Amino acid sequence: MADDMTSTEADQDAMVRNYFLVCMGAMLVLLLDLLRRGLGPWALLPVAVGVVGAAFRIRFAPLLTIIVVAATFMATEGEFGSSSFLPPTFNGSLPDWILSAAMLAFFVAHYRILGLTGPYFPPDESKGAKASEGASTPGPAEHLTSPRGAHSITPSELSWFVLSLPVWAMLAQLLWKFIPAGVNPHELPAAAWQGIVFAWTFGVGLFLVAGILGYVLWQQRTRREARLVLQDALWREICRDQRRVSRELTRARLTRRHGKEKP
Amino acid sequence: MITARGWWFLVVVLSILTLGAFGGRLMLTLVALTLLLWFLGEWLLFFVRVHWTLPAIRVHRDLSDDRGPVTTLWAGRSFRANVQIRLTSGLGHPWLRITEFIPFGVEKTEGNTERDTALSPDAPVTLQYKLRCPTAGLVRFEGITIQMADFQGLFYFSKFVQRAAIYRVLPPLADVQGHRPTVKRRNLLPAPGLHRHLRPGSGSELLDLRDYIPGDPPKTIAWKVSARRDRLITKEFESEVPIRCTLFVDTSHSVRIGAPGRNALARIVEISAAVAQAAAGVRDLTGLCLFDDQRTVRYLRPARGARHLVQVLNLLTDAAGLAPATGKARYQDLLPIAYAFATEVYPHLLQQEVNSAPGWLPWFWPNPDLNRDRPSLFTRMGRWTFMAVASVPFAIAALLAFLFADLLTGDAFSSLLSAFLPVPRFVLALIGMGLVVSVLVLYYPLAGLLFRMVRRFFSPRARRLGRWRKCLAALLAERYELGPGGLAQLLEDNERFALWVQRFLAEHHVPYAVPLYDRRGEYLFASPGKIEVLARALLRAISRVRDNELFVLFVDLMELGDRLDPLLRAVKVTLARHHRVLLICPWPPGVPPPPIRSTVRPEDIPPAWSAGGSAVITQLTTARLRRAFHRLRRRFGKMGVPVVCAASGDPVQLILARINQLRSVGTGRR
Repeated sequence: MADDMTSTEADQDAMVRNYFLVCMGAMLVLLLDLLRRGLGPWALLPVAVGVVGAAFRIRFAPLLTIIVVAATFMATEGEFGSSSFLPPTFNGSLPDWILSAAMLAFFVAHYRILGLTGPYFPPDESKGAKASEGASTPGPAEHLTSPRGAHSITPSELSWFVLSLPVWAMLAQLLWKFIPAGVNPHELPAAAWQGIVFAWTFGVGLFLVAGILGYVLWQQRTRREARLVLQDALWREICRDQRRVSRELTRARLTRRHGKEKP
Repeated sequence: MITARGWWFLVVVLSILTLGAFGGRLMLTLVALTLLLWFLGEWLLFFVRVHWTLPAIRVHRDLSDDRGPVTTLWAGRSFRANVQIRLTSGLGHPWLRITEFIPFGVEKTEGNTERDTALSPDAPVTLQYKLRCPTAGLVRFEGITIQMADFQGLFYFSKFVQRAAIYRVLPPLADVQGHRPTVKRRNLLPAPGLHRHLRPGSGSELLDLRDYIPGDPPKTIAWKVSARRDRLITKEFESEVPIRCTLFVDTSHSVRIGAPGRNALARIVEISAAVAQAAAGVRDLTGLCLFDDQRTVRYLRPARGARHLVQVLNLLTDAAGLAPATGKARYQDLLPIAYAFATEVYPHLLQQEVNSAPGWLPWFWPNPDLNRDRPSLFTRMGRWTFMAVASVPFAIAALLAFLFADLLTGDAFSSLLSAFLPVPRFVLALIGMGLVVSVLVLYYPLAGLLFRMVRRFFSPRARRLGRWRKCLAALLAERYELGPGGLAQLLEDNERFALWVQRFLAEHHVPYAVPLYDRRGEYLFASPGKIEVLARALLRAISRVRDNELFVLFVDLMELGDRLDPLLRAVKVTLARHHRVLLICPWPPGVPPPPIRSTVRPEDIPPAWSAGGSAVITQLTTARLRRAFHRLRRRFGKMGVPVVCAASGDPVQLILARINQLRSVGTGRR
């Protein structure tokens, strides 16, 4: 038993170490890419943020890193003559593909390290609200602090993760390639027009997906849930009349009881 | 479903994507788009896992002891619970947390009720733990909570899988050996009538010798003894007729007050169960009558046998799980408990999609105040006077404006008014008066509405309670099939709502507090109706029985000292029929029981005013209860009915001793 526990802990430590190495690798790629783009010493700033964040397991390190990357890039694009503005026709970009994959790797690896070393399940906010009301009920633990167990680590987890990185980056490039940018009836700047088309495409896509998933959830409703939905709909329609009737009924009942209690 | 980390991720990535796409920065656009696509992919995968995995989860729970699976539990014993979670189909989930909902009133002694694990169709998960039920009653297992999250902590989902199961917890096994009224001479469980009965009868064992009385059968004459003593001596034999004892158990709300398992009803059930088991041990007949303040809930004729005993214990167990309820309870106190429990066990019925609370509801739906006591005529007149006085400034202002409008605006106002309303001046005055009256009439409700809104604005708790009340009322209306009319009524009728909430909590064995006194200081749980019910049940019972039976009344009469007449009459009839009656009076938990023998009368003990408020209240309550008990004992004692406090001494032994005395009735020289 003790050996098993030691081995699982060793697996966990090994996986944390692997993910940390992935983070460091991603930061190295980021540094090289930014240097290649001519950012000079400024390239060290986001990398430093990322390395420190990964080393100290700061929760918001990935978001801070990408914000610093964007800020650095925008601050220095005029100074160093960065040439990464949107071209009229986009046919894919290898450096951007690598950079996207590296950033994704950093995000995923860092978040997984947090799950392996800190609380895996987030605190349930609704239970916190109830506790503040002083109405907590005994039952399941209300605050979960244990990390993800070593049993969930599979040998293929890291492989699948690394293999999926270029796929997502490639998908993004393909999607952007197919966003129409040529036809612009309102004579807007090409970038703005492409952004508007993307926003519409993204919004309509989300709307469709939400509709489909909503329908699927609707199909999965239980009998009791369906009855509640119908009851709610009916109550909304007639709540004013029902309220009047209920008030009168209650008043009549109380009056009758009041009369009975009177000697 | 999306966690705080997920929302932050989405906000930052979408911001950078907007910045990149609209600013024409390709690198930022592609990086953000990559992250966004990955996020959407993970979300879709998590969604599929959640909604295809959870419906396919099956939960099987069994309880067992050392001999094997059981369907009923025993108080004070440990049992092993085995919960198996199986996935019939679906994708499975790499890491989730399963938590068993421990029923209220159950102690977990060993094992884990929580487990982090992977779940797949070919590998069921098992939770094993040991539990112990300290007191008799019912325990209700609700189900398990399943919490799922992705590896990155961006998504989280929690669901309660219901698998409700109710188990009876029978009263603890009585020490039959210690409670046996007579010393057994033969086997442990004799045949009916073979145990030692001191009452003369037609049995085979010799009980006594006595002088011959004319009419005694000649076969009972002891010829040798008669020859020795030179007079006729008759042999008496033991009786083969077993004793019949009927237990009248009070299950009204007055004995249910207190924490489940530690209230007066639990003590009554414990004593009754011990008596029933001890009587069954010597093959005596035991009957049971459960009653409350409205009716006789259940009556079991005296009988014996294992099956009858199990039936008695089951009925007692069901009674032990009853909870108090009153319409006078404040729903504001019950609502947070009930809502918290509902979110734990019925989260799917409180979702916004199926059970929504409109945003306007807490603001514009006033709290019903119909349940308050009807205000007196004086109060109502005071309100109307205040309303009239408060509206006087408005009326005066309107009148002054009307009268001096010409002075302020020249003739413009009059000409404008006559242009729009070409009517005589007195008609205009009438219209003005009508407007003033309208203001007067509408002033009060409008002011009330505005006042309530302002009050709600500064009271987020009131708004929250308003939302919770609607959601819980809808759940209760659906659960108890009250319909949409029921939902509206629960929103309007505080008393009904409080009663339904108490029923909901009682069904799930959730403990809650109820007020003992109303606003006028009257005790809410005296339950005077049970006197009539008990008297009728007692008379009905003696109409069916034979002779010399014992009736044990477990009834709380402390608050009903002045309403005992129907019961006293019934007891007199019972005694006149040569039966015996014993009154066991439940005693509130936490209050020192009365001394068995004391020369000091309760009313002679002065309260210790210097001991502090709480101590004085406790002392006064104790003294009041002792006085009531003393009066009760005196009134019943005049008829020869012993009154015993359930909290002191050993009532079980006393009852068994009474049964034993009944056996000896008629012994000696008749």
